[in-house]
Amino acid sequence: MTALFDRDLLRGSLDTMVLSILTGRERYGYEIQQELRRASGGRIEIKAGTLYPLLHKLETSGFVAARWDDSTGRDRKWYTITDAGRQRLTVAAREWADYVRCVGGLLGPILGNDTPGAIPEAG
Amino acid sequence: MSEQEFESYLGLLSRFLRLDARQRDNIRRELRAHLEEAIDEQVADGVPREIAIQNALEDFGDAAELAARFSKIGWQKRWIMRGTAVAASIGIVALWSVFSGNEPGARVIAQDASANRTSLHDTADRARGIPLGENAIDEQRLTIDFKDIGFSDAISYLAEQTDNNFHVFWQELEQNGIDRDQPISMSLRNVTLDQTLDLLLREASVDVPISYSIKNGIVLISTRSLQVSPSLETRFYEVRDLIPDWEPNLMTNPRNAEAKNYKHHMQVITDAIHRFVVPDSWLVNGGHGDISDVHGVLLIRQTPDVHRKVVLMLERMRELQPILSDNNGQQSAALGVNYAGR
Repeated sequence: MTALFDRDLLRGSLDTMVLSILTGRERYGYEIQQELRRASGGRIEIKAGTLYPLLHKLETSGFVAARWDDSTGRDRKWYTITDAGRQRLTVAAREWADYVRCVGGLLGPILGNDTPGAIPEAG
Repeated sequence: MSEQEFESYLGLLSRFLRLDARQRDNIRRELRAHLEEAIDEQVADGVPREIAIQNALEDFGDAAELAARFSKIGWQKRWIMRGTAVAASIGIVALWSVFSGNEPGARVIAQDASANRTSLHDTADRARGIPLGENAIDEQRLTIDFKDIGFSDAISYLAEQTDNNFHVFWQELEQNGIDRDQPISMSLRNVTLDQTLDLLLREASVDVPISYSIKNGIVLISTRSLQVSPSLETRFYEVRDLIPDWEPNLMTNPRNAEAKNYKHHMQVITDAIHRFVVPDSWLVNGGHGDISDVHGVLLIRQTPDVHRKVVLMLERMRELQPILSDNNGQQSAALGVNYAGR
Protein backbone atom coordinates (compact mmCIF):
# COMPACT_ATOMS: atom_id res chain seq x y z
CA MET A 1 0.00 0.00 0.00
CA THR A 2 1.57 3.24 -1.12
CA ALA A 3 1.13 6.28 1.07
CA LEU A 4 -0.41 9.56 0.04
CA PHE A 5 1.95 12.37 -0.80
CA ASP A 6 2.34 15.08 1.78
CA ARG A 7 -0.13 17.94 1.23
CA ASP A 8 2.52 20.59 1.62
CA LEU A 9 4.52 18.92 -1.11
CA LEU A 10 1.53 19.01 -3.48
CA ARG A 11 0.28 22.49 -2.81
CA GLY A 12 2.23 24.34 -5.48
CA SER A 13 1.55 21.90 -8.29
CA LEU A 14 -2.14 20.99 -7.97
CA ASP A 15 -3.29 23.58 -10.51
CA THR A 16 -0.72 22.26 -13.00
CA MET A 17 -1.96 18.71 -12.46
CA VAL A 18 -5.58 19.75 -12.92
CA LEU A 19 -4.71 21.54 -16.15
CA SER A 20 -2.88 18.48 -17.42
CA ILE A 21 -5.89 16.27 -16.69
CA LEU A 22 -8.02 18.63 -18.78
CA THR A 23 -5.76 18.38 -21.83
CA GLY A 24 -7.36 15.07 -22.79
CA ARG A 25 -10.98 16.17 -22.93
CA GLU A 26 -13.74 18.10 -21.23
CA ARG A 27 -14.34 16.95 -17.64
CA TYR A 28 -16.42 17.84 -14.58
CA GLY A 29 -15.21 18.35 -11.01
CA TYR A 30 -15.96 14.94 -9.56
CA GLU A 31 -14.37 13.28 -12.56
CA ILE A 32 -11.21 15.39 -12.23
CA GLN A 33 -10.90 14.32 -8.62
CA GLN A 34 -11.29 10.65 -9.56
CA GLU A 35 -8.91 10.91 -12.50
CA LEU A 36 -6.22 12.52 -10.36
CA ARG A 37 -6.49 9.65 -7.92
CA ARG A 38 -6.41 7.04 -10.67
CA ALA A 39 -3.53 8.59 -12.63
CA SER A 40 -1.39 8.89 -9.49
CA GLY A 41 -2.01 5.31 -8.47
CA GLY A 42 -3.97 6.51 -5.47
CA ARG A 43 -1.15 8.65 -4.11
CA ILE A 44 -2.69 12.04 -4.85
CA GLU A 45 -6.00 12.92 -3.23
CA ILE A 46 -7.38 16.36 -3.83
CA LYS A 47 -10.11 17.33 -1.41
CA ALA A 48 -13.32 18.59 -3.02
CA GLY A 49 -12.97 21.65 -0.79
CA THR A 50 -9.63 22.37 -2.45
CA LEU A 51 -10.56 21.35 -5.98
CA TYR A 52 -13.55 23.62 -6.57
CA PRO A 53 -12.00 26.91 -5.45
CA LEU A 54 -8.99 25.93 -7.57
CA LEU A 55 -11.18 25.31 -10.64
CA HIS A 56 -12.91 28.63 -10.13
CA LYS A 57 -9.58 30.39 -9.81
CA LEU A 58 -8.40 28.79 -13.06
CA GLU A 59 -11.64 29.87 -14.71
CA THR A 60 -11.28 33.44 -13.46
CA SER A 61 -7.72 33.54 -14.78
CA GLY A 62 -8.92 32.33 -18.18
CA PHE A 63 -6.97 29.06 -18.06
CA VAL A 64 -10.11 26.94 -18.23
CA ALA A 65 -13.59 27.57 -19.62
CA ALA A 66 -16.77 26.02 -18.25
CA ARG A 67 -20.34 25.28 -19.32
CA TRP A 68 -23.35 23.65 -17.75
CA ASP A 69 -24.82 20.56 -19.30
CA ASP A 70 -27.28 17.97 -18.05
CA SER A 71 -27.50 15.78 -21.15
CA THR A 72 -25.62 12.98 -19.33
CA GLY A 73 -28.54 12.69 -16.92
CA ARG A 74 -26.80 14.72 -14.26
CA ASP A 75 -26.52 18.47 -14.03
CA ARG A 76 -22.79 19.09 -14.34
CA LYS A 77 -20.38 21.93 -14.88
CA TRP A 78 -17.93 20.85 -17.56
CA TYR A 79 -14.45 22.31 -17.77
CA THR A 80 -12.14 22.59 -20.79
CA ILE A 81 -8.61 23.94 -20.96
CA THR A 82 -8.17 27.16 -22.99
CA ASP A 83 -5.23 28.20 -25.18
CA ALA A 84 -3.98 30.38 -22.34
CA GLY A 85 -4.27 27.35 -20.07
CA ARG A 86 -2.20 25.24 -22.44
CA GLN A 87 0.49 27.90 -22.52
CA ARG A 88 0.43 28.13 -18.75
CA LEU A 89 0.69 24.37 -18.51
CA THR A 90 3.70 24.21 -20.83
CA VAL A 91 5.53 26.84 -18.79
CA ALA A 92 4.61 25.20 -15.49
CA ALA A 93 5.60 21.75 -16.72
CA ARG A 94 9.03 22.99 -17.79
CA GLU A 95 9.48 24.75 -14.50
CA TRP A 96 8.48 21.59 -12.70
CA ALA A 97 11.00 19.49 -14.63
CA ASP A 98 13.63 22.08 -13.80
CA TYR A 99 12.67 21.98 -10.15
CA VAL A 100 12.83 18.18 -10.05
CA ARG A 101 16.29 18.25 -11.59
CA CYS A 102 17.46 20.90 -9.19
CA VAL A 103 16.12 19.22 -6.04
CA GLY A 104 17.27 15.84 -7.37
CA GLY A 105 20.74 17.29 -7.70
CA LEU A 106 20.67 18.53 -4.14
CA LEU A 107 19.37 15.29 -2.74
CA GLY A 108 21.27 13.02 -5.12
CA PRO A 109 24.10 12.26 -2.69
CA ILE A 110 21.58 11.14 -0.08
CA LEU A 111 19.52 8.99 -2.43
CA GLY A 112 22.27 7.47 -4.54
CA ASN A 113 23.03 8.19 -8.17
CA ASP A 114 19.93 6.85 -9.87
CA THR A 115 17.90 10.06 -9.37
CA PRO A 116 17.11 12.33 -12.32
CA GLY A 117 19.05 15.11 -10.64
CA ALA A 118 22.25 13.15 -10.84
CA ILE A 119 22.12 13.33 -14.63
CA PRO A 120 24.06 16.39 -15.73
CA GLU A 121 22.04 19.02 -17.58
CA ALA A 122 22.29 18.70 -21.34
CA GLY A 123 23.77 21.50 -23.40
CA MET B 1 -31.11 13.62 9.82
CA SER B 2 -28.22 13.24 7.43
CA GLU B 3 -30.19 14.47 4.42
CA GLN B 4 -30.82 17.52 6.52
CA GLU B 5 -27.13 17.82 7.21
CA PHE B 6 -26.49 17.84 3.49
CA GLU B 7 -28.97 20.65 2.86
CA SER B 8 -27.89 22.65 5.84
CA TYR B 9 -24.28 22.45 4.73
CA LEU B 10 -25.15 23.95 1.35
CA GLY B 11 -27.34 26.57 3.02
CA LEU B 12 -24.61 27.49 5.42
CA LEU B 13 -22.05 27.72 2.65
CA SER B 14 -24.37 29.94 0.63
CA ARG B 15 -24.80 32.31 3.53
CA PHE B 16 -21.08 32.59 4.08
CA LEU B 17 -20.33 33.28 0.41
CA ARG B 18 -19.74 36.98 -0.05
CA LEU B 19 -20.77 36.87 -3.69
CA ASP B 20 -23.78 37.92 -5.71
CA ALA B 21 -26.85 35.67 -5.87
CA ARG B 22 -26.04 34.26 -9.30
CA GLN B 23 -22.51 33.22 -8.34
CA ARG B 24 -23.78 31.76 -5.07
CA ASP B 25 -26.38 29.69 -6.90
CA ASN B 26 -23.81 28.48 -9.41
CA ILE B 27 -21.47 27.26 -6.70
CA ARG B 28 -24.29 25.62 -4.79
CA ARG B 29 -25.47 23.90 -7.94
CA GLU B 30 -22.01 22.60 -8.77
CA LEU B 31 -21.26 21.35 -5.25
CA ARG B 32 -24.65 19.70 -4.99
CA ALA B 33 -23.95 17.78 -8.19
CA HIS B 34 -20.62 16.65 -6.79
CA LEU B 35 -22.09 15.61 -3.43
CA GLU B 36 -24.91 13.67 -5.05
CA GLU B 37 -22.57 11.80 -7.33
CA ALA B 38 -20.09 11.02 -4.55
CA ILE B 39 -22.89 9.77 -2.29
CA ASP B 40 -24.52 7.66 -5.01
CA GLU B 41 -21.24 6.02 -5.86
CA GLN B 42 -20.50 5.10 -2.26
CA VAL B 43 -24.02 3.77 -1.75
CA ALA B 44 -23.57 1.63 -4.86
CA ASP B 45 -20.44 0.23 -3.21
CA GLY B 46 -22.51 -0.75 -0.20
CA VAL B 47 -21.75 2.19 2.14
CA PRO B 48 -24.80 3.15 4.22
CA ARG B 49 -26.31 6.39 2.93
CA GLU B 50 -25.83 8.30 6.17
CA ILE B 51 -22.14 7.51 6.28
CA ALA B 52 -21.77 8.28 2.59
CA ILE B 53 -23.22 11.74 3.18
CA GLN B 54 -20.85 12.35 6.05
CA ASN B 55 -17.87 11.21 3.99
CA ALA B 56 -18.85 13.44 1.11
CA LEU B 57 -19.31 16.48 3.35
CA GLU B 58 -15.99 15.82 5.03
CA ASP B 59 -14.36 15.98 1.63
CA PHE B 60 -15.54 19.59 1.34
CA GLY B 61 -14.39 20.55 4.81
CA ASP B 62 -15.63 23.39 6.95
CA ALA B 63 -18.34 25.45 5.21
CA ALA B 64 -17.05 28.81 6.42
CA GLU B 65 -13.51 28.03 5.32
CA LEU B 66 -14.65 26.85 1.90
CA ALA B 67 -16.85 29.92 1.46
CA ALA B 68 -13.91 32.15 2.29
CA ARG B 69 -11.82 30.46 -0.42
CA PHE B 70 -14.54 31.05 -3.01
CA SER B 71 -15.19 34.61 -1.91
CA LYS B 72 -11.53 35.49 -2.32
CA ILE B 73 -11.71 34.50 -5.99
CA GLY B 74 -15.06 36.23 -6.44
CA TRP B 75 -13.51 39.49 -5.41
CA GLN B 76 -11.08 39.29 -8.32
CA LYS B 77 -13.82 38.10 -10.61
CA ARG B 78 -15.47 41.52 -10.70
CA TRP B 79 -12.92 42.49 -13.28
CA ILE B 80 -13.75 39.58 -15.56
CA MET B 81 -10.14 38.92 -16.16
CA ARG B 82 -9.96 36.93 -19.30
CA GLY B 83 -6.70 38.31 -20.53
CA THR B 84 -3.31 38.38 -19.03
CA ALA B 85 -0.83 41.16 -19.24
CA VAL B 86 2.22 40.15 -21.14
CA ALA B 87 5.33 42.17 -20.61
CA ALA B 88 6.93 42.63 -23.99
CA SER B 89 10.66 42.62 -24.00
CA ILE B 90 11.57 45.81 -25.73
CA GLY B 91 13.85 47.46 -23.23
CA ILE B 92 16.58 49.94 -23.96
CA VAL B 93 14.36 53.00 -23.87
CA ALA B 94 13.58 56.09 -21.89
CA LEU B 95 16.59 56.23 -19.71
CA TRP B 96 16.59 58.85 -17.06
CA SER B 97 14.56 61.97 -16.76
CA VAL B 98 15.20 65.48 -15.57
CA PHE B 99 12.08 67.24 -14.38
CA SER B 100 11.59 70.77 -15.52
CA GLY B 101 10.19 71.84 -12.16
CA ASN B 102 12.11 73.17 -9.20
CA GLU B 103 13.65 69.88 -8.34
CA PRO B 104 17.39 70.05 -8.25
CA GLY B 105 19.13 67.78 -10.69
CA ALA B 106 17.97 64.54 -12.08
CA ARG B 107 15.48 62.03 -10.97
CA VAL B 108 14.72 58.58 -12.23
CA ILE B 109 11.19 58.35 -13.52
CA ALA B 110 10.26 54.73 -13.09
CA GLN B 111 12.58 52.08 -11.94
CA ASP B 112 12.13 48.58 -13.12
CA ALA B 113 14.10 45.40 -13.18
CA SER B 114 17.04 45.90 -15.50
CA ALA B 115 16.31 42.69 -17.35
CA ASN B 116 16.92 43.90 -20.87
CA ARG B 117 19.89 46.11 -20.31
CA THR B 118 22.71 45.34 -22.65
CA SER B 119 26.32 45.25 -21.73
CA LEU B 120 26.73 48.42 -23.78
CA HIS B 121 24.66 50.25 -21.20
CA ASP B 122 26.41 48.74 -18.29
CA THR B 123 29.94 49.40 -19.32
CA ALA B 124 30.13 52.35 -21.68
CA ASP B 125 27.49 54.49 -20.04
CA ARG B 126 28.41 53.79 -16.49
CA ALA B 127 32.00 54.66 -17.34
CA ARG B 128 30.84 58.08 -18.44
CA GLY B 129 28.82 58.46 -15.28
CA ILE B 130 25.38 58.72 -16.88
CA PRO B 131 22.72 57.58 -14.44
CA LEU B 132 20.34 55.08 -15.95
CA GLY B 133 16.81 54.05 -15.20
CA GLU B 134 14.16 52.41 -17.27
CA ASN B 135 10.60 53.25 -17.95
CA ALA B 136 8.24 50.32 -18.11
CA ILE B 137 5.08 52.24 -18.97
CA ASP B 138 5.19 51.52 -22.68
CA GLU B 139 6.73 48.12 -22.62
CA GLN B 140 3.78 46.10 -21.47
CA ARG B 141 1.18 44.64 -23.75
CA LEU B 142 -2.31 44.16 -22.37
CA THR B 143 -5.33 42.18 -23.35
CA ILE B 144 -8.51 43.79 -22.11
CA ASP B 145 -11.95 42.27 -21.95
CA PHE B 146 -14.24 44.52 -19.91
CA LYS B 147 -17.95 43.81 -19.93
CA ASP B 148 -19.89 46.43 -18.00
CA ILE B 149 -17.10 46.89 -15.51
CA GLY B 150 -17.29 49.88 -13.18
CA PHE B 151 -14.92 52.68 -14.24
CA SER B 152 -13.00 52.56 -10.95
CA ASP B 153 -12.69 48.76 -11.19
CA ALA B 154 -11.30 49.12 -14.71
CA ILE B 155 -8.66 51.53 -13.38
CA SER B 156 -7.81 49.16 -10.51
CA TYR B 157 -7.45 46.34 -13.01
CA LEU B 158 -4.99 48.31 -15.12
CA ALA B 159 -3.02 49.34 -12.05
CA GLU B 160 -2.75 45.76 -10.90
CA GLN B 161 -1.97 44.27 -14.29
CA THR B 162 0.76 46.78 -15.13
CA ASP B 163 2.03 47.10 -11.57
CA ASN B 164 1.83 50.88 -11.72
CA ASN B 165 0.66 53.40 -9.15
CA PHE B 166 -2.48 55.21 -10.24
CA HIS B 167 -4.04 58.20 -8.57
CA VAL B 168 -7.50 59.36 -9.66
CA PHE B 169 -8.75 62.81 -8.63
CA TRP B 170 -12.24 61.45 -7.94
CA GLN B 171 -13.64 64.62 -6.42
CA GLU B 172 -12.67 66.55 -9.49
CA LEU B 173 -14.13 63.89 -11.79
CA GLU B 174 -17.37 63.66 -9.80
CA GLN B 175 -17.80 67.43 -9.96
CA ASN B 176 -17.72 67.00 -13.72
CA GLY B 177 -20.48 64.41 -13.61
CA ILE B 178 -18.29 61.34 -13.93
CA ASP B 179 -19.51 58.36 -11.95
CA ARG B 180 -16.91 55.94 -10.65
CA ASP B 181 -19.35 53.04 -11.09
CA GLN B 182 -20.37 53.82 -14.61
CA PRO B 183 -20.14 50.67 -16.73
CA ILE B 184 -17.30 50.33 -19.22
CA SER B 185 -17.13 47.77 -22.01
CA MET B 186 -13.92 47.39 -23.97
CA SER B 187 -12.28 44.54 -25.80
CA LEU B 188 -8.66 45.02 -26.87
CA ARG B 189 -5.77 42.74 -27.66
CA ASN B 190 -2.06 43.37 -27.43
CA VAL B 191 -2.28 47.08 -26.64
CA THR B 192 -0.07 49.38 -24.58
CA LEU B 193 -1.22 50.98 -21.35
CA ASP B 194 -1.03 54.29 -23.20
CA GLN B 195 -3.52 53.18 -25.85
CA THR B 196 -5.79 51.55 -23.28
CA LEU B 197 -5.93 54.67 -21.12
CA ASP B 198 -6.67 56.90 -24.12
CA LEU B 199 -9.72 54.80 -24.99
CA LEU B 200 -10.85 54.10 -21.44
CA LEU B 201 -10.78 57.78 -20.48
CA ARG B 202 -12.60 58.75 -23.62
CA GLU B 203 -15.28 56.15 -22.83
CA ALA B 204 -15.67 57.46 -19.30
CA SER B 205 -15.70 61.17 -20.16
CA VAL B 206 -18.99 63.02 -20.00
CA ASP B 207 -18.61 66.68 -21.04
CA VAL B 208 -15.12 67.51 -19.90
CA PRO B 209 -12.49 65.15 -21.25
CA ILE B 210 -10.56 63.13 -18.72
CA SER B 211 -6.84 63.04 -19.28
CA TYR B 212 -3.86 61.41 -17.69
CA SER B 213 -0.26 62.30 -17.08
CA ILE B 214 2.68 60.60 -15.44
CA LYS B 215 4.48 62.40 -12.68
CA ASN B 216 7.22 60.81 -10.61
CA GLY B 217 6.20 57.39 -11.89
CA ILE B 218 2.56 57.76 -10.78
CA VAL B 219 -0.23 57.75 -13.35
CA LEU B 220 -2.48 60.73 -12.51
CA ILE B 221 -6.03 60.86 -13.84
CA SER B 222 -7.87 64.16 -13.79
CA THR B 223 -10.22 66.44 -15.70
CA ARG B 224 -7.92 69.45 -15.56
CA SER B 225 -6.47 70.25 -18.92
CA LEU B 226 -2.89 69.19 -18.73
CA GLN B 227 -2.00 70.87 -22.00
CA VAL B 228 -1.93 74.46 -20.68
CA SER B 229 1.60 74.38 -19.37
CA PRO B 230 3.23 71.20 -20.50
CA SER B 231 5.75 69.93 -18.02
CA LEU B 232 8.83 69.21 -20.07
CA GLU B 233 11.25 66.59 -19.05
CA THR B 234 14.50 65.47 -20.54
CA ARG B 235 15.19 61.84 -21.18
CA PHE B 236 18.06 59.96 -22.72
CA TYR B 237 17.38 57.41 -25.44
CA GLU B 238 19.93 54.77 -26.31
CA VAL B 239 19.95 54.42 -30.12
CA ARG B 240 23.40 52.98 -30.79
CA ASP B 241 21.78 49.69 -31.65
CA LEU B 242 20.13 51.48 -34.59
CA ILE B 243 23.47 52.52 -36.04
CA PRO B 244 25.19 49.92 -38.19
CA ASP B 245 28.85 49.27 -37.37
CA TRP B 246 28.81 51.26 -34.16
CA GLU B 247 32.03 51.18 -32.21
CA PRO B 248 32.75 52.98 -28.97
CA ASN B 249 35.77 54.80 -30.39
CA LEU B 250 34.04 55.70 -33.64
CA MET B 251 34.11 59.39 -32.89
CA THR B 252 37.80 59.77 -32.24
CA ASN B 253 38.37 61.07 -35.76
CA PRO B 254 35.28 63.02 -36.80
CA ARG B 255 36.42 63.16 -40.41
CA ASN B 256 36.64 59.45 -41.08
CA ALA B 257 34.02 57.48 -42.99
CA GLU B 258 32.56 55.74 -39.92
CA ALA B 259 31.97 59.05 -38.22
CA LYS B 260 30.18 60.32 -41.32
CA ASN B 261 28.09 57.17 -41.37
CA TYR B 262 27.25 57.77 -37.72
CA LYS B 263 26.26 61.39 -38.33
CA HIS B 264 24.10 60.31 -41.24
CA HIS B 265 22.23 57.72 -39.20
CA MET B 266 21.69 60.04 -36.25
CA GLN B 267 20.28 62.61 -38.65
CA VAL B 268 17.90 60.05 -40.15
CA ILE B 269 16.62 59.11 -36.69
CA THR B 270 16.26 62.74 -35.58
CA ASP B 271 14.46 63.72 -38.79
CA ALA B 272 12.06 60.80 -38.49
CA ILE B 273 11.14 61.86 -34.96
CA HIS B 274 10.73 65.53 -35.98
CA ARG B 275 8.56 64.67 -38.92
CA PHE B 276 6.41 61.83 -37.64
CA VAL B 277 6.07 62.16 -33.86
CA VAL B 278 3.66 65.05 -33.07
CA PRO B 279 5.45 67.33 -35.59
CA ASP B 280 4.08 70.61 -34.20
CA SER B 281 5.53 69.95 -30.78
CA TRP B 282 9.20 70.39 -31.79
CA LEU B 283 11.23 73.57 -31.56
CA VAL B 284 12.19 73.29 -35.24
CA ASN B 285 8.49 73.46 -36.10
CA GLY B 286 7.58 76.19 -33.63
CA GLY B 287 6.88 73.91 -30.68
CA HIS B 288 8.73 73.40 -27.41
CA GLY B 289 10.47 70.03 -27.69
CA ASP B 290 14.12 69.61 -28.55
CA ILE B 291 16.54 66.85 -29.58
CA SER B 292 20.28 66.64 -29.53
CA ASP B 293 22.60 63.67 -29.74
CA VAL B 294 25.62 62.66 -27.76
CA HIS B 295 27.60 59.60 -28.78
CA GLY B 296 24.66 57.52 -29.93
CA VAL B 297 22.37 58.70 -27.17
CA LEU B 298 19.52 61.05 -28.01
CA LEU B 299 18.74 63.74 -25.46
CA ILE B 300 15.10 64.67 -25.82
CA ARG B 301 13.24 67.38 -23.96
CA GLN B 302 9.50 66.89 -24.32
CA THR B 303 6.20 66.35 -22.53
CA PRO B 304 5.61 62.88 -21.07
CA ASP B 305 2.98 62.25 -23.70
CA VAL B 306 5.33 62.91 -26.62
CA HIS B 307 8.06 60.92 -24.87
CA ARG B 308 5.76 57.91 -24.91
CA LYS B 309 5.26 58.37 -28.65
CA VAL B 310 8.99 58.68 -29.20
CA VAL B 311 9.42 55.35 -27.45
CA LEU B 312 6.92 53.75 -29.83
CA MET B 313 8.59 55.34 -32.85
CA LEU B 314 12.00 53.96 -31.86
CA GLU B 315 10.40 50.62 -31.24
CA ARG B 316 9.05 50.58 -34.80
CA MET B 317 12.45 51.63 -36.16
CA ARG B 318 14.07 48.74 -34.32
CA GLU B 319 11.61 46.37 -35.94
CA LEU B 320 12.25 47.82 -39.36
CA GLN B 321 16.01 48.09 -39.01
CA PRO B 322 16.79 44.72 -40.60
CA ILE B 323 14.77 45.65 -43.68
CA LEU B 324 16.38 49.07 -43.93
CA SER B 325 19.86 47.61 -43.50
CA ASP B 326 19.07 45.06 -46.15
CA ASN B 327 18.41 47.77 -48.68
CA ASN B 328 21.74 49.33 -47.87
CA GLY B 329 23.43 46.00 -48.25
CA GLN B 330 24.70 46.23 -44.69
CA GLN B 331 24.51 43.66 -41.97
CA SER B 332 21.73 41.89 -43.76
CA ALA B 333 22.62 38.36 -42.77
CA ALA B 334 23.10 38.87 -39.05
CA LEU B 335 20.15 41.18 -38.61
CA GLY B 336 17.98 38.99 -40.79
CA VAL B 337 18.39 36.25 -38.25
CA ASN B 338 17.51 38.55 -35.38
CA TYR B 339 14.46 39.76 -37.20
CA ALA B 340 13.20 36.29 -37.91
CA GLY B 341 13.53 35.52 -34.24
CA ARG B 342 11.29 38.33 -33.11
